Amino acid sequence: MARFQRRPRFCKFTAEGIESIDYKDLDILAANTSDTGKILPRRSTGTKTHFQRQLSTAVKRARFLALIQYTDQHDN
Amino acid sequence: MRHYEIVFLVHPDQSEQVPAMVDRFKDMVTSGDGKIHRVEDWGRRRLSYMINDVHKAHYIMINIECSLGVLQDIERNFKFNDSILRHLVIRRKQAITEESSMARAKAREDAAEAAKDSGNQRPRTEERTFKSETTADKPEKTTEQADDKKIVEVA
Repeated sequence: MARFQRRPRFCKFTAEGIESIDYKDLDILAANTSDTGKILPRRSTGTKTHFQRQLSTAVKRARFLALIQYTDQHDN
Repeated sequence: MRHYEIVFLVHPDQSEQVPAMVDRFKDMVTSGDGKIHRVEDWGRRRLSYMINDVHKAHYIMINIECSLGVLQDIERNFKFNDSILRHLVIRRKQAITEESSMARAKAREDAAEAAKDSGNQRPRTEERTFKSETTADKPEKTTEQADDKKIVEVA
């Protein structure tokens, strides 16, 4: 029977020793949002609660400033 | 006195007024006994979605330390200035002076573009001359071929 092989998950932010997630760091935000612009859940990224909270505010700030998209269905 | 980080988006048609605007805000802060810790110009960026029917905007970020009254003055200014599309004010715990990741990314892009421009200038012209030569050669060949065909047809 084929069984799903789970990759070991770990919190990238803890591993890299990042102090705080900034809304200006678009690479980090892009890595933690889906192609449609949704924030990826902790269950798929393994991010610790502390950083997931920071990530969510960072993404929301970046969205407000039009640095990243809210959705892939914007009119432009 | 508290630390704030302000980002505002200026209408792309009013891009020339940005330095004057920044100077005015700086004056407002310093006259209110505040401090300016960091000013960054991210330049004109493409918006991820349209704001007020505009696709691009000029981004400015300022880190300041000022009293609430001064901040309110600045925010009132944002509100009544039609060329400012959007603004965001965040409270920070301490003064931030190092370059942000956005400015670093922009500097990297600019450097890459400059390198590309200086590196490509000569090859481009060479390419062009090469192309023109080949294009000059080709029509002759085609006409010859066409002539041959005609001859064949006639024969």
